[in-house]
Amino acid sequence: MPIPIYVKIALWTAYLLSLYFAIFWFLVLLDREKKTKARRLRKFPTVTILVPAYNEEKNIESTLNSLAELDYPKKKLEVIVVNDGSTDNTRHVVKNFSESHKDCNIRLISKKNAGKGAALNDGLKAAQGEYFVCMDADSRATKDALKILLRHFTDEKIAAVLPLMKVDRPKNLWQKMQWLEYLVNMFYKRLMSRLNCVHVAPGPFSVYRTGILRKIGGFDEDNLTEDLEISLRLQSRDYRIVQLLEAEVFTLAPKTFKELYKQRTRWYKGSVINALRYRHMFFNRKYGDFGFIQMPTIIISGFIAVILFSSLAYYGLKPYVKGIYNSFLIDFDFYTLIKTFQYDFNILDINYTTILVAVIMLAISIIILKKSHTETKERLKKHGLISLASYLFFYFLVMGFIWVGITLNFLFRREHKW
Amino acid sequence: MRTLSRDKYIIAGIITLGIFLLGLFLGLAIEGKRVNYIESLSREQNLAFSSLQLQYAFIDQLSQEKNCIAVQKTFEDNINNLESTRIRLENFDRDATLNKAELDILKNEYILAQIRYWLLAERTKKLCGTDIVTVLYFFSDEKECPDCEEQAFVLTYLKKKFKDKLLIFSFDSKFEAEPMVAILKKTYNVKSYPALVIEGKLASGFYEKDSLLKEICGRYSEKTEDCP
Repeated sequence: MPIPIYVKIALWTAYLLSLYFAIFWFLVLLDREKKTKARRLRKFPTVTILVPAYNEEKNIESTLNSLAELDYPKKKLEVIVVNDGSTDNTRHVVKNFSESHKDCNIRLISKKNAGKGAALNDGLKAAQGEYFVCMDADSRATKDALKILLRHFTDEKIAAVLPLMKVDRPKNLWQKMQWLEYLVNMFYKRLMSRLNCVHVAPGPFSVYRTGILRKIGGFDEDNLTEDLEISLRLQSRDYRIVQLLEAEVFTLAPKTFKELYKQRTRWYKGSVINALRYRHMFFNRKYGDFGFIQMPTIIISGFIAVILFSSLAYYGLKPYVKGIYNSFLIDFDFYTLIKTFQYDFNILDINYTTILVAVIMLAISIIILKKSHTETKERLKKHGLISLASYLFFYFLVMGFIWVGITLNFLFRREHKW
Repeated sequence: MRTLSRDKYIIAGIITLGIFLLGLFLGLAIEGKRVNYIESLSREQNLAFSSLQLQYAFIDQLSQEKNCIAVQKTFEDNINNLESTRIRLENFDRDATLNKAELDILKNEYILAQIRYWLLAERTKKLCGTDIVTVLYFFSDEKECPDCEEQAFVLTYLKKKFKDKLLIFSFDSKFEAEPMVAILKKTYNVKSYPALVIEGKLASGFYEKDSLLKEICGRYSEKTEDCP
């Protein structure tokens, strides 16, 4: 079955773009990093940690526990939990916790449900700290995380410093694959950080300068991914976002495909919508590398995923569908086919060009995977070879599938609810 | 003004382009090898055909019908070799990018070979009284003939069932570079696809396994075990 020329062109564009991006970041990796020395905290600044919570009775206690155990002077720390109209016991869990941890200075703000952005803004209004930390209620920070992150506000232009985010105690294969994905993504974000290209400050334990957040008008309250939007806004105002690998935070990852699909649909859809909103930054010399590599990547990665997945699915599955249909045509008389089967294979029939691209891509992926582990001080086989292989050869198909879903969704214009 | 890593964009572009060109040249080199390989196959087959033609001429001239069985074997082997060429051509057609012209020449040679063998088969039947059925199969592209893929599958299946007792010669009706295709189409009044010419009689439209089996079985002079 010959592949039509326009499919070939689309496929080759996708191959070449992914190859280009991979090589670009590889070059960044090869460059020696100009490390800015972390400052010493002579005086501990005041910090507000904000925990927006919606129906988090199960997780929020361990989150608060990790905040209570932070290695930071309690007098300088303020914890605000914004209960975003939870219908479960979140309020009581928080109340009980704050009564038993009087030294922790935990405040509870209860309000009608209005979404995460609004909850963050309420917290921002009430915050008294010089620094503002977002903390999702399904995450835990390590003891020294806050101190390390604060040490890296070395410049007035640095608006946010982000920790290394890991998947918390992955149990099944879905979570283990995400564990690997997070590690690779964090490594990439560290590289992006070198070029001042970080485009998202995720929910768990991102530290901001309170003043800058207020100055740019706080969080967007009507946004699928307010954490991405605020980062794009910071970038568009030429602030800096720094990604660290030294401070760690653990977050819960979706356990099932359904949950993962829901989460990623929101993330990727949000990223496309927000990228289009800030489209003036695309290839805009004023924004340097951010406009030239990061903004296009947000859109193009979806395009690549859709093309690779749909053509792989179509041309990979079609022969089998045909095969089943054809079996009906011959009344399932496989005996005749097998009896006369001739092995007719010729070494020249192999498509070497595609294999060359595949081998190069695989080699780069393995190098990046290995490097991500050494940089984050993790063992490559921590969660077994099966999860490694699934991540390398299967996970991209899952992401492709999700991107196809989003594309169809865009085409049929369905509104997305949180 | 923020920094722009101009060097990296350029170097990454050059490396990507380099890999792309490497792949392209590799592909072209392989394609060249393919052309050569199929050409050499085709040369061998032409030689084999000439030899076979001579063998039949010999039988004809000197009335050596007792040699028919031996020659028949050669005929079958040659037809099988031709099938191997068809598979090579099909794979090549799938991947070919720049060598379309060469591919067309190879396709043309293949079509000619098929016509020669078909004519020879008809002659053999008269000369040696072999009990075989010949089918000419005309196909077209997916747009003009959505059923062609299924028809080809059914034919392949029947070929496997009857083996040497059934000879199928397939012709791409879109291949207009070869006038013989047009001549054949005109001779048998082929207008829509798929079209089968079973022992000189036109059968248009998609034929299911059972009805095709019936058509073919009716043409054998002796009863075979494969027929119901």
